[in-house]
Amino acid sequence: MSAETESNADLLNFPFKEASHQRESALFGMWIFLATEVLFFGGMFTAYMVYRYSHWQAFQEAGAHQEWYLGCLNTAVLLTSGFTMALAVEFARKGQRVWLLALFAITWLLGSAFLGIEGYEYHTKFTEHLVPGSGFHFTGSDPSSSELFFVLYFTMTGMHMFHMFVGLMLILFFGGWTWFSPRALLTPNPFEVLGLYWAFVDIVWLFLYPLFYLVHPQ
Amino acid sequence: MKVNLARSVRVLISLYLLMALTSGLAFLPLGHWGWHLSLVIAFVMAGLILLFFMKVKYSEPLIWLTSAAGFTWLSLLILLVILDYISRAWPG
Repeated sequence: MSAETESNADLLNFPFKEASHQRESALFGMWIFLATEVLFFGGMFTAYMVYRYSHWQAFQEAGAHQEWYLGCLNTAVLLTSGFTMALAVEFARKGQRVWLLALFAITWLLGSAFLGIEGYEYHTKFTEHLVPGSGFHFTGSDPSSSELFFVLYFTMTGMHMFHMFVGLMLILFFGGWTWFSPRALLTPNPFEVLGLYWAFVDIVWLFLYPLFYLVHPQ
Repeated sequence: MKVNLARSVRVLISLYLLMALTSGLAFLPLGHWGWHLSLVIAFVMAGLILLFFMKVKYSEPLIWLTSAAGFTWLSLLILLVILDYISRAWPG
């Protein structure tokens, strides 16, 4: 067996006999996972739609308490991180380790900035007594329906933040792997899968932004 | 394969512009149309990310189908819920 065949065979996991088959399977598996994620978030989006139709005025009043510019800033931050992640995947495919690590670092910083801004928003919600529960205080035409808006806001942005957190941990893991192991870049498949995950989390935010920040911007 | 920086930058700029557009529209008194329009823009932005950043445009038909599947099921859910709302008199 030649050295080349040996190294290729080394990269293939059971039961794959061809690299292209292994790659297709990795991407196909990730897309199936993402389809289930669409439905997971989709249920919450449907709930939002139903409540917004049935409590239009209360949602308008609640939406007026949102800082739209923070949401807009976060959208810009996340779109930029999606761009750097997409480039990182391209460099992984080309086996360019330094560029990959640099873009991972930028993506990680942008993702952390996003969580920081979101954390600041959560903090202001606490100080303004807009967190659903016994401490909730709201002056409006229908406070209990406005509370629903904030229930959805915390649930949906909270789940999105959790996904962001997982993404940041994965970038750390893959970045560390690339840094320490020269074998990491022998196949770009894991990096492509991570890129798909990050882009999906971006897409979820693109819907959260208009639904929670642009309801009634002041 | 060359890293296509110019194309990625074009996609990013388009996304920024669409973000500015949806933010600006939110200040106009459009009623229900406002948020329906913002969702249409969100779908266009999601489409750009799907096609270019997630490379669906350059993928095999299997990936096209799988990426569309989740959204198809979700649109069924939303469509049936909306049908209920527009065909019956709901409070609110």
